[in-house]
Amino acid sequence: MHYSRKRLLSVLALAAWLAGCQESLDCPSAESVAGLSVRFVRWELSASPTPGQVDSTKVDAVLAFRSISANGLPVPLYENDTASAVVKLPLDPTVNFTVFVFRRAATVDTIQVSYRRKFGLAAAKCTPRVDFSEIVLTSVSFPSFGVVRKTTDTNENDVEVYLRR
Amino acid sequence: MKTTWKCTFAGRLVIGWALWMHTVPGLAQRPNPYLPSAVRVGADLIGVGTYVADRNQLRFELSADADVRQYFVSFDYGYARTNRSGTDFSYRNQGSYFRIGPDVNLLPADAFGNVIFFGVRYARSFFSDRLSFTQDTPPYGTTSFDERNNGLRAAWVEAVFGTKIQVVSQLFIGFTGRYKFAMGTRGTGGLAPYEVPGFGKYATNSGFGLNYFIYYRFKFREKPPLIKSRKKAVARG
Repeated sequence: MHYSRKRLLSVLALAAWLAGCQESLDCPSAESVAGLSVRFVRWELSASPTPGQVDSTKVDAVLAFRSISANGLPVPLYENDTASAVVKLPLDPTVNFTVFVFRRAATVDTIQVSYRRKFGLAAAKCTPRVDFSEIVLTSVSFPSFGVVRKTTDTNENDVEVYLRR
Repeated sequence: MKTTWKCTFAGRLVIGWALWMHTVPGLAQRPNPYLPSAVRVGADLIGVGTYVADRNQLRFELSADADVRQYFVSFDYGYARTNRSGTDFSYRNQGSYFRIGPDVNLLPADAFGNVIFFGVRYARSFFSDRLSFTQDTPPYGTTSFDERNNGLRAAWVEAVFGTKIQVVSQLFIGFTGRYKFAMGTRGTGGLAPYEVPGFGKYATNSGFGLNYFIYYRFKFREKPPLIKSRKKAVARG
């Protein structure tokens, strides 16, 4: 096998040109900031609901909350808001848990969520982000609940809270 | 005590072997095809160029190889330090790495020592990083975070190819293209590293890399001619 020096040097020149290539990076939008998406569901007592699964025994429970507050903050997250079956709740990135208090006309319920925080850069020039994983509901005063997914990286429902019909 | 005795014994073996080589007539002159004829040492130019363009990215890499017949044993050592900053954040990453592995020379009989090679590498990196930032996290207020990882370790595998071409006498230039894959890390805590020294972005488990080296070859002796296997010689007539 014979390779002329000229041919080998042209390969080197190509390599040098390739070395000048740089990856272009786009910062993720602010919409990707993680929060816990909770769906309220009414279900038949005899049935055993599977979190995240479409089931005829599951019916969306449209609840009207007087307020929803988090980690003892003086200002509630939601107040006299439009009734909804799904609420998006921001997790507290300063600690490993968040306690949400749901106030309705006659009842007060709580959900305590524990999680693992992971900080990092999505791209070289982008603002750091925090990802929440290993989500566990450690204390819930609602009748029952199910965790659909343990990370908050999508816009899907992360937790289903089951209320009796 | 036991270790010292072992070292002494090993030293005696080496000295004895050297004396034997010199006392048996003609043995030292007999060309051993498995002993290296030269060691080539190089420095990466891309790291230097990057540092000149951006003082926040320092990468320094040395490479060495020794020939064993039509193969090379290659070893790379590098150090990298990166500072990244933006609005209300700063990220610092620093550490060292090495790669080791064999190459196959596709031009073993080249009179000038030119090389076209491909091979594999096992690589390891030892590093630490730190991310400090202030962020508005509604409704929880504005918070300052300071996360760091110490004593991180990473390992990966590379498939490499490249060239080493003689410029003048014992001076060579060349590039090494790499496909890096199967990267795993140990020791990460609450901070996901942005990059791994020697590997690149942490979030991707594989990637391509390129080094552009300038080498100097320290030649010990003439390379013995390659002895073709008897089967091949017979087949070729």
